[in-house]
Amino acid sequence: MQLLATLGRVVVRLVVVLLIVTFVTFGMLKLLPGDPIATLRPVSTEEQRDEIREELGLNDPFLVQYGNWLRDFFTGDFGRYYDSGESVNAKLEKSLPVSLQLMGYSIALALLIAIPLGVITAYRSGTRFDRGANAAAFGLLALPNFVLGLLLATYLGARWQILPTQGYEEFGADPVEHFRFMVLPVVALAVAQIAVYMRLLRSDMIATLQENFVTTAKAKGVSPRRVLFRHALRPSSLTLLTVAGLNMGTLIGGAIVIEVIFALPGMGRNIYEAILTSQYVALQSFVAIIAVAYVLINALIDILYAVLDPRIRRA
Amino acid sequence: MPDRPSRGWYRARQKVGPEPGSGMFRTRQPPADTEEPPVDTPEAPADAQEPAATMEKPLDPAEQIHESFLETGAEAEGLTVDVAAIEAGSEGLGKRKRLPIAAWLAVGWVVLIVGLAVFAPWLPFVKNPNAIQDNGGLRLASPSIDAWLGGDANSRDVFARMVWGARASLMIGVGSIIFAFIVGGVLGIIGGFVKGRVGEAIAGLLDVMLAFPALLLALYFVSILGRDIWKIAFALGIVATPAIARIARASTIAWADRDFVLAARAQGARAPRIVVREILPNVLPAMYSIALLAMAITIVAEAALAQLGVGVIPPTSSWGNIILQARTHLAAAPWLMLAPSVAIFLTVLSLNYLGDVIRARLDVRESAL
Repeated sequence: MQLLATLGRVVVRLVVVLLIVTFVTFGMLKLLPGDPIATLRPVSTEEQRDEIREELGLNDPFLVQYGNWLRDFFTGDFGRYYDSGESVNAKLEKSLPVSLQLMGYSIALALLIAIPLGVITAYRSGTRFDRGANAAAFGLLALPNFVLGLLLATYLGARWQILPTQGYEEFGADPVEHFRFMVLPVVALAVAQIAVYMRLLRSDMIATLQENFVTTAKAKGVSPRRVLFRHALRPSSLTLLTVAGLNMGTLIGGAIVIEVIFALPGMGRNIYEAILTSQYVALQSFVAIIAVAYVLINALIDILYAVLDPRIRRA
Repeated sequence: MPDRPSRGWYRARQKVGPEPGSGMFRTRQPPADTEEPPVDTPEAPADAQEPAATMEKPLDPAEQIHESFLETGAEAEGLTVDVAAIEAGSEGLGKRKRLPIAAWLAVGWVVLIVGLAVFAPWLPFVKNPNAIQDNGGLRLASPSIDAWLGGDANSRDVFARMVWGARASLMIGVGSIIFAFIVGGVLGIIGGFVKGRVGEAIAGLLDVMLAFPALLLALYFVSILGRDIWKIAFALGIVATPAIARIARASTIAWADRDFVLAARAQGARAPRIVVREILPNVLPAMYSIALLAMAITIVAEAALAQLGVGVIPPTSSWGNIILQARTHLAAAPWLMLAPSVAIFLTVLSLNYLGDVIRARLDVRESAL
């Protein structure tokens, strides 16, 4: 029952936030200085421009325009590129999987490394290993992902020619090549996350390890490894989930830059190209799609969180 | 403390925990990542606490954790913390006053780049960043005695461009954070202090601002507004505002219920006076700390925007567009990329570290009172 109430609240809030987010995305474009038609058709007579304005609905009141755009957006029509007439949807279908792969791989890699590291540093807290790992994490947090990516690209790519740095191969076409292309971008994106997750899990685990049930488990003679990974990790991982969710925003931002640097044909690359070529309709759609996805992910995590921890439902 | 409950005594009980962070600003500070073990954040059901918890019902788990953290920090620790802190204060004060060497190094680096950036036009060893050196002979030259960091693809002196780039990067970093500090501080403190509709409206506004991935919003802003330095600073400032506002708000909420505020009210102080004299001095430390972290992030964000083609417009240099230019010559001239990378790394490292030091020290000062 409480879960349902939480769910209801989350959904109401979600709808409001989605409306505002799309409104801001749509409205900001209207702040664009200059006549959009001049960008669209640099050489045109006044009559032609009027015609285009009428066609695009630019003469309608602002709210009507927003309503129409919103309807199109939520029915899955994201508009077209000005010149080529290519639909944004087609572009989206090609690029979204690439971005999802990039982010998915990097989260997986980050957790794969951060969880054992966090658990071990908590278990051995105060030792030289722990301090070393913490100092390293602090340092890695100061290394922006695109700087790391460029360093990797310079040495592993350009100088020693070990891995390709520009381009993408589909998994279906050639799995080996696919991963060869993905290694550098994924590592670049994962490193900062490793530092965040490790530090977080460590401080959480240190608290959990002082709980009575851990002492009980130890007293029963449960092996340290089992205590750490079976007993202590689970209660400590709740915060990890939240932060993984909060981190999505950073991850999305990071993925945009990384895609541009490594020439991966993902959403970030689309945005970059749209800005470069003043394709504002497409830019608007891409920004709105990512913002909406981000809002949805956060809502999902809120719900997941309530499912996992019953105490939160009451709040 | 039977007869003289000074304000300091109440302060001693307060521990302002780090905000879990938010948006682009979320990663830097995992919740409860401080020296002392966190105060069992998941164990504290928000509504089992003092009335402050029921006053508003955050849905956001991050906020929830943070607030329950504040509450447990303030309440559950109680007197035991006081005694410990006061004892530590009388004995350990002299020891704690010394800054670690690393902090001096960090301060030194920040002073160095700020000094270079501010005095760039008058320093004799900083060449004209836009002049072609040696009639094009410095093109992609490696570092030497004449050109300390080598030359770029247009035969310009990279060291000069780095120094002038620091000007742009720091102007954006500092400018955006000053904006965010003032706007976010005012929003946060009002949002935390004024209850009812205004407070809720501000909280909602902050929530919505955080509903965009930060870099995406900055990118969108700049691509629409234009790429002048002050416009980039403005865009990043807007993006940084909710992060600082949330810290200010959470901190204000924690302080507003303390007894010394009640005492001030009882003596007839009006709201503005309470905010300025009682709340603000206590909220500022947490804001300074987050402002340094946020400044590090905006400096990185400027460089990231440059990679996306919406950075500072050349020929004006910034660390971001030096990296952008270096990207085409990675194999031939890796030092082109290394100079700004190292500069950004050291700056971010220093600011992060100083942010941590400030937080730790201000907590110490408060608990030692």
